[in-house]
Amino acid sequence: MTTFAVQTLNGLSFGMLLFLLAAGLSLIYGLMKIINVTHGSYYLLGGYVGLTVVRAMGNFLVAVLAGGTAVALIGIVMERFFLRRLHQQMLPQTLLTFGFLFLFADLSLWIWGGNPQTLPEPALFEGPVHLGAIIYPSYRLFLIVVGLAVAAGLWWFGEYTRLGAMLRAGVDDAETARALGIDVSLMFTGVFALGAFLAAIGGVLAGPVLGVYPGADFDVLLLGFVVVIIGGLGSLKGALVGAVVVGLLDTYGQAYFPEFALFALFVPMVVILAIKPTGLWGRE
Amino acid sequence: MIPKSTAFLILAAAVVVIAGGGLPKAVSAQSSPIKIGVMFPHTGPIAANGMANENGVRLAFEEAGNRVAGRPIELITADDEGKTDVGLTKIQELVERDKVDLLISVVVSPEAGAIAPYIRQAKVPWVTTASLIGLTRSLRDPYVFRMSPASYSYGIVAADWAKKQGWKRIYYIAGNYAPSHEAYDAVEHVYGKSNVISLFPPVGTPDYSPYLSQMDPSKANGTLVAIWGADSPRIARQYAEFGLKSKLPYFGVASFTAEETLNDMPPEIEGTNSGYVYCGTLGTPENKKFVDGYQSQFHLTPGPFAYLAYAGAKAVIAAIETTHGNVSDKARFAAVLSKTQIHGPMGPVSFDQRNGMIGDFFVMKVVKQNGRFQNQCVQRIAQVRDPYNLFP
Repeated sequence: MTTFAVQTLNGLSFGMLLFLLAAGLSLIYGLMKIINVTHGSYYLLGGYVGLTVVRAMGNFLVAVLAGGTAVALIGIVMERFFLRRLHQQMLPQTLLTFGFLFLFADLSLWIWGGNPQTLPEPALFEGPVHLGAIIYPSYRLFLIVVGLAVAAGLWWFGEYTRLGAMLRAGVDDAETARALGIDVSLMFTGVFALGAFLAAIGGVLAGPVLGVYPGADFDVLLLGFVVVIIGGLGSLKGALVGAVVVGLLDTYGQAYFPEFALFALFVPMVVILAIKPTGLWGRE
Repeated sequence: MIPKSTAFLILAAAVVVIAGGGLPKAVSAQSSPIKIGVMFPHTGPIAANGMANENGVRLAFEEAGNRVAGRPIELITADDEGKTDVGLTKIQELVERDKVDLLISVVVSPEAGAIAPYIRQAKVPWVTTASLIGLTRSLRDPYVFRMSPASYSYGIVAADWAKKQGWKRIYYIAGNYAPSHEAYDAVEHVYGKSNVISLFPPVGTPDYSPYLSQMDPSKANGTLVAIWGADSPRIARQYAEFGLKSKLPYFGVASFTAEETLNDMPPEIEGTNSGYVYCGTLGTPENKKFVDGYQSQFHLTPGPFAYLAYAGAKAVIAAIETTHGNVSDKARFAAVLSKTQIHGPMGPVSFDQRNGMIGDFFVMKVVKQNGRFQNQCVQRIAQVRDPYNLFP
């Protein structure tokens, strides 16, 4: 029972990191119909910028914000100067983001070298905590809290703010939203920056447990895609549920059926693709 | 305005240069360059290991003044990205287009497995730093040289050490791919199947928590960790994060504490024991020369990856000297290389009857000195051989 509880916490904390990645992937697709493969790079670059800042200043919170902001700027540049030129052309856009993925991978290899590295944990969350019979790393509990807080924040923003309503209008029908005087163009850039920001803070937050290393971009991107396929592209709720499902499946699979760990992850994905190709909460 | 003496010097220099340019034709092929194909990953997840390999090769030839037995050495480098398909294409380019005389290349085991059959057919002497056991078994060939210990060897070294600590039962956690399964076979041979609890997470597992949460200090006395490359800092951190480090001591199999990546490891790595072929703090003049040369040339710390490639290049240099620069008779060159022994940074290194590496192993402990992590040499195991008697 204790082991099961611990494994569930493991799944949840990993799922929350995936949520940070998948939220942006899903939002960007929902609004702009861009499958942004560069999302893996945002995660990686976030981790590396965070690492540099932590080493220079020793403050984890500053590192999270700096990583997020720097990568959000990269996202803005990509959207404004590159993707915009290929408006509504899905294949060229995807290819372009794929090109950026390789570009950033080699650029970060050049800047930060090929050695795998880890960020130090913030001092506040060093060491394990005791929850009844369970002893669990406090940093991972912190990750769960952060993930849930971001999810709640995004939900509140989408449901209860004017900007959120405009965003939902844009997702539903960009043409009509534009006709009603909503600056859809600015919103595109804003959502792109937000998505990049979330992926990048995911990269920094993952740094103390998962580390940053060349190839992390591809590793998380694959899982990010599984999340949005299960949850459905274009839906925040889908990204959250998908991330939790993938985190738990991945963990239980590895813990209880190690020989079939990849099956546990990919079989549900295939089943969902077969019976509901848009994912659990996806849109047509 | 140029003084006469200077003008004369320039003229004389010009004559020498022109004459020198024409000279090699008269002196025959003996002073034409020996071409050596050097292919390691420059890009991709294992680029750091690949560059360390390439630097090791460069340093060895640099020390020889890029000239061996009177013939200049030309290194032709290529990037295999650590990928089997890319590596196979590039090695064919090196052999067929660039017409290299020798090859020092490939660090990734699956890639080495794909290239060995091509070498058998191309008949070009090939020194690889991959640890694949097949290279001295089903894939063995007079032209294939493995300057790397067999995976079995590091499994045995780790298990013997664990036995000596009095560990009765052990966990063995390892990446789910060939070298760590091979090392597992060796560990099982030492411990017996019932005394080893094995866990094989996939290579590249981002989060080891599902495995670590299963590990129970009451069920075993210690852990052998055979997780390498980009995965090793993560397991080191997470092992400590789950409070296992203090209750269930662990030993790093093979390159777990490689000097190349040691100072990017999390602080929890301090105190970790491991067993492999290179110990950076070994106080021999050869090692001092190797470390100083490497640091001054590349501004990096060398470790086992640089060492194995350096040793491979040293062996090639010695064989070129023995054949007086004749590398065109490939069969003879391969036979000479097979008998070559060098005295490298870690002592004598040679090839066995199947061209597998014979070299010393070290049990090490990570210590912090002057703010940097270093491997302290705890025990030396002389002249470890590929165990053909146990695993034919």
